[in-house]
Amino acid sequence: MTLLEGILLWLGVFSYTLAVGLLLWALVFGREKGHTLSRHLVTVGFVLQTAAIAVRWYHTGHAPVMGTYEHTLLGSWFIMLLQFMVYRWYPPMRIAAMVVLPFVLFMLGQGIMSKPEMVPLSPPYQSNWLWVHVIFAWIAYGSYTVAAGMGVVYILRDGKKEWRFLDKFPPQDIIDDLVLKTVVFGFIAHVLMTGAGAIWAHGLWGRYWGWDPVETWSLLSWLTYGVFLHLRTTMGWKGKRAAWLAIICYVSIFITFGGVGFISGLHTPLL
Amino acid sequence: MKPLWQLLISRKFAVWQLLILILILLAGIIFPDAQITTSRLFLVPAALVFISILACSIQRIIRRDEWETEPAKVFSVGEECFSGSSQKSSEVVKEEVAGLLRERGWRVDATRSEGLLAFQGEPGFWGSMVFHAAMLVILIGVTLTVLSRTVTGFSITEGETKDLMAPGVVQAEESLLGPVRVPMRLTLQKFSADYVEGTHPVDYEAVLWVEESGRQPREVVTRVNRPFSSGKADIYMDKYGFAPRFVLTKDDGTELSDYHYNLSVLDGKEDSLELPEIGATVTVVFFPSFKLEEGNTVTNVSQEPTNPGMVISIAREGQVVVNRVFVPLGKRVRFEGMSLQFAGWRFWTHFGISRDLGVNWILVGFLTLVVGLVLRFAYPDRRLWVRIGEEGAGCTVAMGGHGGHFAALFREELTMLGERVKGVL
Repeated sequence: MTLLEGILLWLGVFSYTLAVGLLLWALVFGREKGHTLSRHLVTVGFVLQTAAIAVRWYHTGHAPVMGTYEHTLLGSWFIMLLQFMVYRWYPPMRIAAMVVLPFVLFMLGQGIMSKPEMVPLSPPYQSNWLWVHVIFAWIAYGSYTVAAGMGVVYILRDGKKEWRFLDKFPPQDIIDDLVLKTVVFGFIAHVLMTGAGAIWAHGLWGRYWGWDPVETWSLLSWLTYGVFLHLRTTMGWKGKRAAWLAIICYVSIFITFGGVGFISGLHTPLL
Repeated sequence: MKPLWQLLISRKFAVWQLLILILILLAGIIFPDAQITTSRLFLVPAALVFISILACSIQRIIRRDEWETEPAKVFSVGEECFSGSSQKSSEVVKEEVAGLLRERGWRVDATRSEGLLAFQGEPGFWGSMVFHAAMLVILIGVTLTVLSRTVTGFSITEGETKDLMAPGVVQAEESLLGPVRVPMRLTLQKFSADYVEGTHPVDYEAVLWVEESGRQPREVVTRVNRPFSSGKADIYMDKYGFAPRFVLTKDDGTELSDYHYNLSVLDGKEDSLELPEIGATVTVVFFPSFKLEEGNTVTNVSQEPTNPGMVISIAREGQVVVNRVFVPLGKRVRFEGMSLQFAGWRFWTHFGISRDLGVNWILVGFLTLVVGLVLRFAYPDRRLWVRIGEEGAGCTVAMGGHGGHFAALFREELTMLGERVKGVL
């Protein structure tokens, strides 16, 4: 990690942390000003994180797709990007940052604690399909994260009228629809991720599927979200049940990235 | 037969099938040695999913327009968003509202005496069909892979020529569709491995001279991630290593052997080779770029072979005759009236060969899957009704509808649409 990248990233982390604090203050004490300030800080943090990624990209000569640090750096950036997109689709959902931001901070913390050394892109990674694979992986994981975050909000608010700060969120049935929309978005990105990964694997190993732990977990999580979509769209599992499902399904994503990816390494060993 | 059909098209059954697949995958992860995912335990439910998808798709087409024949239901589906009255005649209102809805992309059925019915989401229906068709294409692809996939490979050293049809060169795995055949002669002209700072690999490149029956001989430059094809087979580079040249000579000058030996491991690790001419086993640790430290310790400073050397041990009949002697390039080690010279080195590389007739099906399946999903959810099924009744010289109007998957978001849209319809009244 270069000094400039480190400064930018730590300032970004600081902005996100301050934003979480302000958001909490705004929600608990009903201070709208805190809410606005928090939103600005999130934007500043996102710009700083983007700049940190750009600096790293410039120095390594490749997109940050190698190793734990780079995965968490790019992954958390995509989750934030999706959070911004949700703002745009439906501005009242900006409050979901209360759930998404701590998760992003957790990811960045995990990345920073790993080895942030800068290495050139090794030959197995030199494939355009890798970019497609990684980008859609993060779009998928980001979408599922946002969906799970909204599921948490739905459940927290369900039947708790005394929690006034939750009134800031849109009506429950709208959250329910947004959970579905973000899951669908993630599900489509998941297909693209898997397809691009299959093409990459075929060029590299002469096979499109190898049943390694990451691949198997990825298929498992895709099927899990397939169950979600089936129950939600054809069997009427809405509201609280759908919110719980979004959270339960997310466990499989958490294991795919946070568990299998870190424990057994990235897919099959490369050349 | 009917109960079986009902089971296959049942939504609950579909969910149970997915859950069973998930459980099997989970078992496959927990017990990797059991190879559950390639066993019948996995293939049988996967085949059942195939049949079920097929049955569901047929059922969807059969029942597609069924609901439209029940006016009592369709004119009350979902929520009513507004009701009002107009001084205009019911015919005029019907025509004007129908025009407004058509402008906004609704397919309008104005033939009903109760009023208007409007629909959106036809591409969504076909999206669902495309999605299910894509799943079938993928499952066909997987079946073709199971039937046809065969993997093999061969190693080749720089300067070496290999006829891949010669006996023993390529040991192909048998698949249900027979072994892979690659009628080709290959010469590895050059191999290079580039590193940054001697430690981080950035490029592996092999230059091959390829002679193939029915084609002009040609030069092929291949890299990791850049396979080349021959017929139905894909040939991809997947390993490389160093092949030091060992020259075994008697003290009287008689040469006993001279060949390159492909070391299977890179620097810092032991490899061993046999010298059958003298019944000896040679243990080698290869250093692509060595540095002699204090106390005669050898370390490797780079993966690039700029200054190669080896630590050699030789054993004959269970007795160690040379114990960990360092031999730089060009030097020799003497033992029992002979010498073994490290006379040079070359690269060797390994190519995998695979044939998989399912791969194109899989890729087309993935692409179609995305198209189906996008259509399915970008155009959700929406139904809208406008009940128009006579009231004196004017009429009463009520509007409502139902918005498929995103009912709450549709309700907001419907409220806005209701405002536009009020304008017409």
